[in-house]
Amino acid sequence: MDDLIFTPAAKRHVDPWAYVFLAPALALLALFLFYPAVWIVFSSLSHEAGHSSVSAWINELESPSFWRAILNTMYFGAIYVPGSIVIGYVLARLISQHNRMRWLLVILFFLPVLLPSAAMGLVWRWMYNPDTGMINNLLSLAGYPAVDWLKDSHLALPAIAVACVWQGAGLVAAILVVAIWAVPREFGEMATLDGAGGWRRLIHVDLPSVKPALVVSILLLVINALRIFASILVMTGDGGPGNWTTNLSFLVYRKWMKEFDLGGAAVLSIVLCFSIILMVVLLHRHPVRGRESQ
Amino acid sequence: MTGVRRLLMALILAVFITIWLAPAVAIISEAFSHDPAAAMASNHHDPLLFTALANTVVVSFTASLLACTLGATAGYALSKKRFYGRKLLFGALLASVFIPPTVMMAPMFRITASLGIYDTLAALILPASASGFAIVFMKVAIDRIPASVIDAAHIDGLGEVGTFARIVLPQVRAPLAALFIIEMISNWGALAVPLAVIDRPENYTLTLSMIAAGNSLTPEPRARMLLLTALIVLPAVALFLLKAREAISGTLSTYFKYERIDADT
Repeated sequence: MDDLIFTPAAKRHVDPWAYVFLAPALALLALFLFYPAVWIVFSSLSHEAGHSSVSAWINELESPSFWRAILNTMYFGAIYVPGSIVIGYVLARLISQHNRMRWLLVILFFLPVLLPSAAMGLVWRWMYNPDTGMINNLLSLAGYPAVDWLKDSHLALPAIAVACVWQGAGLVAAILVVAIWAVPREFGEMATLDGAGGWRRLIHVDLPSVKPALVVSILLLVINALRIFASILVMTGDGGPGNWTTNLSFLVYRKWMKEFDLGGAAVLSIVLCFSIILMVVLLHRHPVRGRESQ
Repeated sequence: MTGVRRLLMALILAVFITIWLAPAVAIISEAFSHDPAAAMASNHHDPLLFTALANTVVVSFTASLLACTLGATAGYALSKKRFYGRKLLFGALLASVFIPPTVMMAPMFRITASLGIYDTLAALILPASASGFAIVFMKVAIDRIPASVIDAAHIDGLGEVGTFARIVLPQVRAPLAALFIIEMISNWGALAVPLAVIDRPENYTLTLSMIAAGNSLTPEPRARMLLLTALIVLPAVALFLLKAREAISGTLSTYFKYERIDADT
């Protein structure tokens, strides 16, 4: 004990107490995190006699439903990420105009984020209902025919993405409001005095001043876009119509729970995890460096 | 800024508030499109609904408590102790945060089956307690305690457990509370892993029984689903309103670990 205090070099040694504090967590993690990760890799390579060990990989890469799922994931992200960022940014700017009500407004727009995706899907299924849903009621008031949003192969995925923007924009607004408050107001006012108006002020002053928060928001949204599963299950039941709302994450569920194709599900899991890691690596470097250099 | 512009911005904000509240109106109008008395009566005689509620409370409370405990102890070791594989472990835990829940369905089924806990509440609690996020979150929080504080405690004769319980824990009370709320909310609404490890209706959580009600063709599931939605949503909203600031800044500070958002700086 005394040695530890008086010889700093001794601190460099491994502290056995570390393992005492780690042991309970490690026991559970080994069972429910590390073993599953290894097991998935092995399952993706398992094979029947006479087939090569990469047959599951080849099967998946050749299957049209895999590529359809990739396209659906990208299509969903292409609506969800920009939609949430733009609306979330507008919301954050509007909220930060109000000094007294700002926490109330942040809470209001952040509340949907707390809704479990399954409950969010259920609420929006009511909203999209062709007979009694609020959206179709408004359409019929305006004189348009009712649309069965979630049963139309071209509308179903955008409809789900819009529901998710309702959640995503609130998350972005909460993150950006905090970032906007940290920026002195004089920044924008000086730019206006210098003659930068409208778009020029937005692109050269307002957006760069919250850049780290924007990048973090994009990162969270991209990860969400790749994970989304529960709301699709609740809103469409089976990723339908056809395969039109089946994204990569949903296809993993379907392969395993409905088609009992363990090898295929494992291959898709690995593809999904690696695409998320790739996105994190691509997007995450940026903000931390930018902030530290200041 | 001119008065006209201010008015315009207030109007746009009002439009957004209306859109954000619309789904709440959808829930209420759904409620009044049925005979409320009949709906309540049919729910009242549904013992499985109360079982599902009890299961959800037990599972999410136990799992969140376990995740916070393990997060604090393992986070302390990661932050303040040296051991072999420390960087590797932290990297693995950080990466685990991004694993989508559907990916874990098949492995969780297999592991709970071989442990003999498939289709029990333990199969819901234990996987949810092994939270890499909780450990990373608490490691980041404990990083803020200077090493000199820990050293001073040792010099004053506090043992390892005493230092952890009486020096470290009191300093991370706010992050721990935020973490508990985050874990509660995510466990309360969890769907993917429960789908894989639960079979019998008496072990359903609220989300599972919502899925089951949505798939059944009996005439009353809508009223029942309405009640389920309320039950699923309310605790999150209540917890959040109680601790709104801590929850938001707690959540955000894990992402913005280079920036203090809390007011107590």
